[in-house]
Amino acid sequence: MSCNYACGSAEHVSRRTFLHGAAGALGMLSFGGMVHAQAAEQLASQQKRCVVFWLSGGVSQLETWDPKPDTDTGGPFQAIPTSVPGVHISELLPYTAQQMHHLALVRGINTNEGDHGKGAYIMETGYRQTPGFEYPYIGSAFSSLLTPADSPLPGYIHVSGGANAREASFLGPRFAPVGLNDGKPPANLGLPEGLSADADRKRRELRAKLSGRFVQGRRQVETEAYNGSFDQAAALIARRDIFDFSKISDADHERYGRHDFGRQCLMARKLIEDGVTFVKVSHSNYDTHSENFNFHLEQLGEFDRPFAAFVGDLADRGLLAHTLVIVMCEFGRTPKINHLVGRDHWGTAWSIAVGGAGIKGGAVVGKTNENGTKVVDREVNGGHLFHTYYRALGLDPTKAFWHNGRPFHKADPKADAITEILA
Amino acid sequence: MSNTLKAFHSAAQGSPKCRATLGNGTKIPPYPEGVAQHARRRTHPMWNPFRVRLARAFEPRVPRKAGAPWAVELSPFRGILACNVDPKRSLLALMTILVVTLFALSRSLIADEQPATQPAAVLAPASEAPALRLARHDAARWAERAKALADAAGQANAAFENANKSVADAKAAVVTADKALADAVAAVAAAEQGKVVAEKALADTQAALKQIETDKKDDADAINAGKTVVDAAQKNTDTIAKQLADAVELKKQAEVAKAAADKKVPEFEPAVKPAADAKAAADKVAVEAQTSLKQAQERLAAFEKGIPKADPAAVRLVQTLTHDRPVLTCKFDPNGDFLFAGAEDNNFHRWDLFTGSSVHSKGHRSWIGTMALLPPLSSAEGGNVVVTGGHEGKLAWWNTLDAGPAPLRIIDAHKGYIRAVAVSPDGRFIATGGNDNFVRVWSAADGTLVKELVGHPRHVYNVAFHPSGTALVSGDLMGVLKQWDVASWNLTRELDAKVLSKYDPTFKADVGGIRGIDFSPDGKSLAVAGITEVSNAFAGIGEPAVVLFDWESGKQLKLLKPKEKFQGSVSGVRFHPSGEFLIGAGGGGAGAMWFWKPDDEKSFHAIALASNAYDLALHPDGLRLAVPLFDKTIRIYDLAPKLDVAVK
Repeated sequence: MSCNYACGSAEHVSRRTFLHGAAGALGMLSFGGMVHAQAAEQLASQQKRCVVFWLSGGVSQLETWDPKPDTDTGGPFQAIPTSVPGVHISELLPYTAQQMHHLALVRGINTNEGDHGKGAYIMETGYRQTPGFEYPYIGSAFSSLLTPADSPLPGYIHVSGGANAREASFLGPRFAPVGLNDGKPPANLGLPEGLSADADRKRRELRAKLSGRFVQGRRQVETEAYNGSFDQAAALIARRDIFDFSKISDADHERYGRHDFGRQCLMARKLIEDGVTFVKVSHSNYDTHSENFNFHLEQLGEFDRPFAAFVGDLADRGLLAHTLVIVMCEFGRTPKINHLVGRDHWGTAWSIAVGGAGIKGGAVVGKTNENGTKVVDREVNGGHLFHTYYRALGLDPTKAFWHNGRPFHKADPKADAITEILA
Repeated sequence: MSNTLKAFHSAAQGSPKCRATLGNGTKIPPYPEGVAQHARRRTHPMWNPFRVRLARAFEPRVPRKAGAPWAVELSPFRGILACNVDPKRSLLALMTILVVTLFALSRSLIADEQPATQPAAVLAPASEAPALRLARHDAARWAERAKALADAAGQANAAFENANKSVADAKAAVVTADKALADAVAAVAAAEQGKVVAEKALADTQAALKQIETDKKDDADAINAGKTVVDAAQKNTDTIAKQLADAVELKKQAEVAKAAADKKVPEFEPAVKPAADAKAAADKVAVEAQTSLKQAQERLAAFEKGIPKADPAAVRLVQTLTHDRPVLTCKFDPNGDFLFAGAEDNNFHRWDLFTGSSVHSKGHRSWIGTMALLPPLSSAEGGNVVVTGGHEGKLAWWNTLDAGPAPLRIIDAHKGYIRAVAVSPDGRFIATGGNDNFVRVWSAADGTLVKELVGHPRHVYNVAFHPSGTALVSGDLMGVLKQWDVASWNLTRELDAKVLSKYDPTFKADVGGIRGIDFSPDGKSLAVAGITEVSNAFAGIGEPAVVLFDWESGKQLKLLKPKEKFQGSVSGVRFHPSGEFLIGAGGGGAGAMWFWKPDDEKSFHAIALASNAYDLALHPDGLRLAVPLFDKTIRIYDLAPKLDVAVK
């Protein structure tokens, strides 16, 4: 990492982030200090965060990051220049094009998977699905590695709602996603009506006492998790202000667009500012088997401005250097335009965009042929991407998660990082 | 309904052949034969808006009531307006006719100076019904084409015969050379034999001389005589030796000649097969053209006896044009010579329907998804101008008769796709609708912006002018139709076709829109088409539908759907010029074309298409139509009854 928060360069320490950083550090100390087994690694990746923009259904690479105008597969849209000389993306992303110097493009992805579930699994775990076992998903994995052990905040928040506890796999429910349904905070954050704070405190003290007696001599992972969840809940209730999105300015709403995705990008910005480690924003839907171009116009028209504003704002606030931003989905879409003027599932030659922490802005790696039907240079798969994410966040992808006494490689040992886009 | 039409009604009361239906759904009684023709002529689309004629021409078939007014028919760009002239205004009407006729005549004189690419066939008088006029035109063009192809076949045949003759000549030359060689060989043998004989004779005479010189050494005479004989024998030997040398030389030459002749045959032979193939190909197209000519002549002959009613039940594929990309939109030219198209590429395409040749011209930077023809008087190019709208937002004017068309003019019209182009009946205005949610009106003559019509909250999918030229209608993704007054460009009213639009909460997107639009020829009905009952937006699962409005009241009359269950969308909808039925083309899982009567929500006929249709274009004869398809073809169908039926 050439420059993370700890490097302390003026350009990366805005007052706001300094305060957040200081608060986080104090918080960690007050919650018992750095006793986590991965303390050393956390130091290297201190203050690193990650935001995934999940373009549900599979966005078309040809209408986004790898346009092929004037070919039989290119569709009706043009390619436009970006803030990086020589790099062109689809005209459907004019605002994003202006943030290209913060983003890198991976244009040679071949996951060879055309099923939504399996494709999502590869892109969110870095591995091909195998029966009977699940790797932790990206949000759970990174929140487990990046969230300070005693942080009061959930490590993984999905602002677009929908939270599948399965994603945490063996990392446990502590790292499962918290879904904000319709932008609302998790239910029951406030005290029940008629219960005073004092009564609540006494109630919890009683529970702690009983639990403390119970675990004597039978301390297990399950009891830890059980007690931990009470502590986490209490800490979260104390910090419920992070879910108060009412103070986001009208000007920001105007800039991001007055629609769900715009609001969710603003929520993601606030959560990242407030120190949440991993935020996922989903945008639905791109599964355009019919009318691919009409629907991409509609969906990317909504995506482009708030996403670009989000990247720009993070950069302006000095947060982008610490926040890995990934725009991805299950797979790309077929170069062949079908009989409904749609594009179908396609994992053979497609692209994603990454930016922020540890990423060389403006870099482009990988190449597809003239009409996008084949990767012709620097082919990569989910394993390569995960090595790259880990490295970008200052984490070691070659280390393993340990579960039931067995090591599970964080990133596929058969692959390695795409160093061309690492800063 | 015009008074004239009412008169037809009353004249036709009681006839058992009740088939006709008006655009507004009113069943009308059958017309007697002549009346039906009249009614059809009055409602066929005409390409010359200023073609004016007196209905008097039909008078012998429909007795005019004493004192009834003369009917003047104006045939605008799409459909015909019929109006009766009040006797009090007849002078004004006649003056109008005179002025307009003179103007039209002057235009037609100008139009005579056409580029060389204009088909040479002579057009029939303008007063003829389109179907007959175009049948005549077709026959003339096929005659021209058949002659050209017959000539070409003749040339191919001559070339084939030449090739054959060359081989035959070469083979004959081989035979000759063989014989010459054999002769030469024989001559050499004979000379060699002669040489042996001569040499023996020489030796014999020399021996005899020696004997004489020994036996009669004093007999000088005898010795001299012997010497003379020896000299003669020597000479003879020399001569024969020379003859042998000559024969050997001749043999050598014969051998060379034979080798040369042998070479010629394989040299000429390979040319025979290609020439034969070329001949066969030329013969085939010549025969096909001859067949087409015969059909066109039969069609013309039949039409001269009486123009048949378009019959959806008879719909059949008559021509297939092929391309290398899916085709999105197409239009016929006013004479049915050309078909213009836009496809999933950036070119403007023109096919000659008689020669099959095509031209693909650059100009746009994205797909052409919509086009419209300007009527003759709206451009300096004399009615040969097409306007195309591109997905990059540019609007281009093309002279369709240019050998390699280049845009006459190209302007930035919209930000995002131009989804629809329409031309006003008088040819003055071009209306466009685009993804920037604007409807814009342009001067057809110079491309300047006349008016920007603001109000659609979402992509504008379609625009159409009312046949009267007084109103413009635009429709958007949300199924909202807006009516604009052409004089003031004010918003007059909104019509609700929201049944053709839906927000799909699963995919979080709006789907649908006004994908097809057309007014009935009498202007009393408006049809808009698309998809309804969408259950899966992103797989395109829904039902094709056409919403039929009563124009005057703005009320929705019918929701037309396929009779058989079908998943997909209607991409193009057209009223048949007779106003008796509507045609829709589209597809989903497969391509299809449907026919509806305006008063029946279920289609009365449908056919499967080779693949999804993206548009629908009517031939100016009102009997044929074209559908541009996903399978990279444009298919032309005929609705004329089969000729044996028509001739009866």
